[in-house]
Amino acid sequence: MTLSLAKRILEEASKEAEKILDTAEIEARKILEDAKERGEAILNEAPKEAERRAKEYVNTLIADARGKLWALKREALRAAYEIAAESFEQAAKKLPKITEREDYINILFRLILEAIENIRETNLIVSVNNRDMNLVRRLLPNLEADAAKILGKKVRLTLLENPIDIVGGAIVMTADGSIIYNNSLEARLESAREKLLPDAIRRLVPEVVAR
Amino acid sequence: MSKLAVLVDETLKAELEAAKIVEEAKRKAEELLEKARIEAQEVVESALRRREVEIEKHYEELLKHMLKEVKEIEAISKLEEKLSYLKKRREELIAWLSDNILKYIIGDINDIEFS
Repeated sequence: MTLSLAKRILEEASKEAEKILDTAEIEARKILEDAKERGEAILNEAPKEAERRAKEYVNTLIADARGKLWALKREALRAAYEIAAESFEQAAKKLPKITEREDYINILFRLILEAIENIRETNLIVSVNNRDMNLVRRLLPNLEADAAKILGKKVRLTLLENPIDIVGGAIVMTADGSIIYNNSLEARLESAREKLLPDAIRRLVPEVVAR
Repeated sequence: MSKLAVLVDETLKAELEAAKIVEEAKRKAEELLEKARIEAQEVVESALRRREVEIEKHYEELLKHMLKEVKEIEAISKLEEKLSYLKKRREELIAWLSDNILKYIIGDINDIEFS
């Protein structure tokens, strides 16, 4: 009787101990299984995380690149403008070459005739530089004849005896000075500058200046 | 010693022994759990290390591909080339453009149409 009570106490203790260990083993297995699952989840995140990091880096890079691109565009535009502007300065220096051409007489004729056509008056004064005075004197009869054909009325042209300081071409005005048409080579260059400068810049840096 | 005294004594001894058995089981259980926790931590840490390696591998490939798509980088390169060209050929360009301006002026005059 005595022995059986003690034995029962010990048997129950053993059972409890066994239960404690079994529970612990189950919990330990669960801890490991959870860890493995978490590990897998962590590994599975890798491609997504790599994409996030790459996107973040590329976005920073794009922002920097846009800033640099903007600065470069400004620099290129300035360089192109300077080249184009300098080209017109150099063209101004080269203007006398036009007066050295064999067909300059024809050019001068056309410039004076265009001025006459635009003024559309009958009594006009033609001003040229010293070098072109004799040339225009010779041209006056033909100019008057052509002007009469164009305007349909007789035109009287007078060559201003005081030469003016222009490279070439002519300035034509009405006798009373109320209408002046500047068809000097300098004026033609100025007109070309207005027309061509934006286009010249665009041709130099088409990637910067949109059409 | 009376029979009752023996009974009490042996019962007490058994209870003492039982308490020891349970305590020992609890200690072993705690050890087991602690070992499992350490192992679990190692599993997670190892996964984190492998994740970094994997990220690095994917990152390099993705970056290579993504950078090809960044048109600003190519535009910068082209514009830098253009700037360099404009600086190097400045004088030639000015001479060429000024000649063309003169040609334009002459052509413009020759193209005048009279009514």
